[in-house]
Amino acid sequence: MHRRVRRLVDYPRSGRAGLRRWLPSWRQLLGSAGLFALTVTALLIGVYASVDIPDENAGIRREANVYYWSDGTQMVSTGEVNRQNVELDQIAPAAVNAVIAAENETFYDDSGVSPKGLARAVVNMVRGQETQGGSTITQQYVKNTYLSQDQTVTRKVKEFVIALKVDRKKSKDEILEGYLNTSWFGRGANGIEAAAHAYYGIPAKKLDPGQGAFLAAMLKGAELYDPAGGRANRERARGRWAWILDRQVDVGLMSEKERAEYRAFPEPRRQSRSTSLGGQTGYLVDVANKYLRQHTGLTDEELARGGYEIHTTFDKEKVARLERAVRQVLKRDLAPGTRAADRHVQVGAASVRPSDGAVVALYGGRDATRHFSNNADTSGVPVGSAFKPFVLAAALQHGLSVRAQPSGADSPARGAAQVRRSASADSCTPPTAPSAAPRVSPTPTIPPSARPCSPGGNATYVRLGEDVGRARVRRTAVDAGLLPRSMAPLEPSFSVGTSTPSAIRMAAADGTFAGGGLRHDPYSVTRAVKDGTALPGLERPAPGRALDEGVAGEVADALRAAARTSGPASRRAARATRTGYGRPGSRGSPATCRPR
Amino acid sequence: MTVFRVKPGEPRLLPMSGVAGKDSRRGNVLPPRIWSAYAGATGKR
Repeated sequence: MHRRVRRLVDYPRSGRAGLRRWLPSWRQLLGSAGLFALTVTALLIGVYASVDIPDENAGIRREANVYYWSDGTQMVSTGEVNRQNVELDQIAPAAVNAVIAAENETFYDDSGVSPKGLARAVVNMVRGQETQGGSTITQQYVKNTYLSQDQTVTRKVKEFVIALKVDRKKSKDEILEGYLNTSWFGRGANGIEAAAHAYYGIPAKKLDPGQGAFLAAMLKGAELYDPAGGRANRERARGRWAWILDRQVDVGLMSEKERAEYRAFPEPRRQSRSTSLGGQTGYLVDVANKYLRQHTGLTDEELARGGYEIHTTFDKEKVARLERAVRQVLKRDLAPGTRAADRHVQVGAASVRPSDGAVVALYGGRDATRHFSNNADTSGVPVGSAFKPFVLAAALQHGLSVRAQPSGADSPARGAAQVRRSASADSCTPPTAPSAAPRVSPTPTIPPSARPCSPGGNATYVRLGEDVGRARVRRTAVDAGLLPRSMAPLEPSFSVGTSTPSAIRMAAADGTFAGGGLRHDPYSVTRAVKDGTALPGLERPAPGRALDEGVAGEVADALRAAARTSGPASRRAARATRTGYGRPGSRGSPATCRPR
Repeated sequence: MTVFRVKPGEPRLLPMSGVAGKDSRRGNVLPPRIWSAYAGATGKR
C-alpha cells in the first residue's frame, strides 16, 4: 500500500500538472513574504544590537591654531588640519538654514536616516556605481565622525544603524554643529569656520545668506563647485547657489523678500596660496607662541593639539612694509656676486609701539621655511653703538650734565646741557644708591662728543661709562627693558655695546625714551581663546617708571638730532615716529642699530 | 635692528669690514637706510 508523505512545503505543487505545478499558491506567496520580512527584521535587529557607536575618528578633534593680525583678519592657520571648531551659535543662522535646505530639509523632524537613500545605495552598488548620495545630515555626520570614507554597502549599513543610534543619543543641534565642524568645504578647509575664512576672509558668524548658500553649495563637492577651479565650476556653483536660496524659500526658511536681496552671486575671494609659514609668517607665529608659553604656561604639546584662536599685535601692513624695506635696501646696497664681504649678511628688525610695547612688525630673516633662526629674536649678536643711549641715559639719570657746545641744535645732548641733576633726584635709584656711585667725579660732565650712535664716539662712551659706573649703565638698560641675561660682563667695552639683546627687546627698551621714561615690556599676543574661553595671563603688561621723564626726553631728543643728520628720509622717519634711530659706529663688532 | 654676518650652520659671526662698500662703515649704513625706508614710508601714510 502506497502511503502519501505530507511535505512541509508543497512545492512543486502536488496534484498539479504542467505550468501550474510550478506556480506557487497564494499561501506560499504570503508565507514567503512573511518569512522574508521576518528575516530582514531579525537581521536588522541583530545588526542594530551588534553595531555600537564607535569612538570618534582620531583626526576629528584635531584642529588648527589660527593666528590673527591686529586688525582681526586671519594671518595663518597652522597644524595638520585646517579646522576650527565653533559652536552652533557662532555660525550665522542664514548659513545654517542654507545647509539644511540644501542637504536635509527634514533634518529637525526625521529619525536621522533615509531608508530610500540606503535602498538607492544598494541598487547603485549592484549596478557598480557609487553608493554615496541621499544621506541625511545625521548620516553624513556619522560618516565624517565615526567611519571611513569608503564607498561600500557594509559602511553604508553601518552608517545607517549608527545614525539611528546617534539620533537617539544626541540632540539635533549637537549633530548639526558636529556636521558643520567636520564637513569638507574645499580649499583645505574642514568645517564651516575654516571655510568662511578661506572663501570670504570672515568668521562663520558674519556670513550673509548669499555667502551661506555658497558655502552650502561647496558641500556638494568643492572640486566641482569652487569657482577657482574654472568657468565650468563657477557655472555649477552659481546654479547650485541659486537653487539653495530658492529652496530655502520653498521650505519656509527664507522669505521671498529676503531672497530678492540676494540676486548677485557672492564671489569668493581669490584662493590664497600663502597658508603656510613661509615669508615672515613663521617668525611671527614663533614669537607669538613663545609669548603664549611664557605668559599662559601653555606647553608645546598643548599648542600642537590645536584649537587655539590667537590674536596678535602684528600689523599686516607694517610687517609687509618692513620686509619690503629690508629687501629693497639689501638688493640696492649689497653686491654679493662681486663683493665677498656682502655675502652671508643677515638682518633682524622689530618695530614696537612706544606707547604700550606692542610689537607691530618684525623681520626675522628672508623666509621662515628656509632660514630657521629668527633674527628679530636672536640674542647672540652684540648690540654695538645702539647701546650708547643707555649710557647717556644713565649719565643723565645719575646727575651728570653736558658741556655746552657751539653746534647747539645738532648736539644730541643739548637739552642735557641746560640741566644739572643730583643723584638724590634719581627716582630709579634706590635710597642706598649714592654709596654705590663712587666713580662719579664731583663735577662730572657729559662731553659733546658723547653723541649716541655717533661714529668715533666709542672712547668717549667708554670714559662716560667709567664716570657714571658701568653697573649703573647696566641697571638703566635693564630698567628700560633689556633682559639681564643678555647683558655682557662689565668690562670697559660694555658701554659701547658688547651686550646681546634681541632686536625685539632692544626696540622695546628704546621705546622707553620715546615713551617719557615709562618702560613697556614687549608683547605680541592680546588674546588667546580655546573652546570659547579666553586664556588668563595675557593682560597687557603694566608700564613701570624706568627713567625720569626729563631724562628720557633728552635722550629721545639726542636720537632725533642724530636722525636729522642722516638725510631727508631719516628726518622724515624721525618725525613720523617721534623717535630717531641710532647711527651705528661700533668698531670691532658686528654693526647693529636698533630703531624703534 | 641688527645686521650681522654668519655662514649658514656656523655659529661664529663673520667680520663686517667692507660690507656694502668701503664707505659704509662696516655696513653701518644699512640699518638707518632700512629704517628710513620703513618708517619714512609710515610717515608718508
